Amino acid sequence: MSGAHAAQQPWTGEEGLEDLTAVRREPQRHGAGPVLAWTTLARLCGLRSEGVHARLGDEASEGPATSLTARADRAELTRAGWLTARGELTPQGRELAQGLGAQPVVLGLHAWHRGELRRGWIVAGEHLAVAAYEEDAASAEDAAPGRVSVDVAPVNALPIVLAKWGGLAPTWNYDVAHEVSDVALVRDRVHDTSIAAPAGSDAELTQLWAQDWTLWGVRAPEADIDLEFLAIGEQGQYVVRERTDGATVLAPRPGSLLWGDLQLVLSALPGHGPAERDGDDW
Amino acid sequence: MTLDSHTSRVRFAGELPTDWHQVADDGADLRLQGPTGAEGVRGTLAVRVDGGVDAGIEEASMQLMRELQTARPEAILANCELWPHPVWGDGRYIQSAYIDGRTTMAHDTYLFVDHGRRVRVEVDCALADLLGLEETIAALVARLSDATPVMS
Repeated sequence: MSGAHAAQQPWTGEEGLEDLTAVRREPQRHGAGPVLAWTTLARLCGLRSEGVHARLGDEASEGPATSLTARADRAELTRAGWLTARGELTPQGRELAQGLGAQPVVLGLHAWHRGELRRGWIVAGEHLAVAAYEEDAASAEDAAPGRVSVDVAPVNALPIVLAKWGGLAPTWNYDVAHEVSDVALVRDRVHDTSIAAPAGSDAELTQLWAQDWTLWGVRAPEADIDLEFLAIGEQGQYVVRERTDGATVLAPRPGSLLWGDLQLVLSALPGHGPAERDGDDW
Repeated sequence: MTLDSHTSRVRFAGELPTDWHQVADDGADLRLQGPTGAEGVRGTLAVRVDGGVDAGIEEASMQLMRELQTARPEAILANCELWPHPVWGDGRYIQSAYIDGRTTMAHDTYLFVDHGRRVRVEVDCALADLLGLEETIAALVARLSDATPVMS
């Protein structure tokens, strides 16, 4: 790397190391399964937080199931293979209901990229999780959810689903933390790529600023889960945090630590507890 | 238990944690497993040494990651970072995970290239167990060495 070139690149310590861009994969924000309205899926999953009081297909749902909305739900869920034409759970639907258990938790996913918001939801139950990815970009964070494409996975695969949502991939990121004026500036830059780097930024921060940014994360207030990361181009994953001296910094988050963060999301869910530790007596 | 393997090219130097033990494995130079939980053995660590390696660690690292992606296209390749070893020098810690039926498995590899040999230390456990095991496993990896010293 020439001196002139080095001055324009953040220091990553990657000189002479293998080029990891060759094994990087695009973030995965769509499901391979059925496409249906999120509200319909929420009814199937019996999500109380979505104003649903009983699962479709349960006997107790006979009342609401007679409404027009519920009939539309039924048609979609029949097409998806979870309900029979008579509105009863198919074996596949029963497996899903049993895998979700009585009180699944909903985790909200977000990814802001070039001013566009993609959203997803994970219904995490006892044994299974349903990942639902909104088909279209959302007009606002609190906009009513639209249609979603769906994947069903073991709930213990949650870290993988989150990692793919955020585009976690091997990256050499030995950057240092960069001071920025405040969190709002970083958020503004995420939404509006024309926002300039803070005045007085060094070459490294200026170069970071010029790359492609995606602000992504996962939230589940009822399980006290609130993680957010900033994926910066080929540079890797960062977090925006406040230092103890009050300064706001854009700090690199190494892959192994971020991977650990995502594993902890699973253990924060009710019924999934902290992993058994080993070696404490060694 | 102190291990002193005469047939393997790799040995574990020192005392294993009480809940870890060595098991026979014809396909590996050394296999450790432990601890045993309610659903059986929670983690395995297998060391394999391949000779005749011309590539450096950088090429070996890329080759391994490509192999992982080819073998399991749906797996997540989560991380690759520098990992030093007291005997085998600067290596890599490569982390991946995949879904296997109703379980999600972590498959981590500590990779080194030394004296024309590729040393792979492969760790397999349920992903949900990884955070609880990885500290011990890192210490185990650091205590692995050649069964007989390799001359330059």
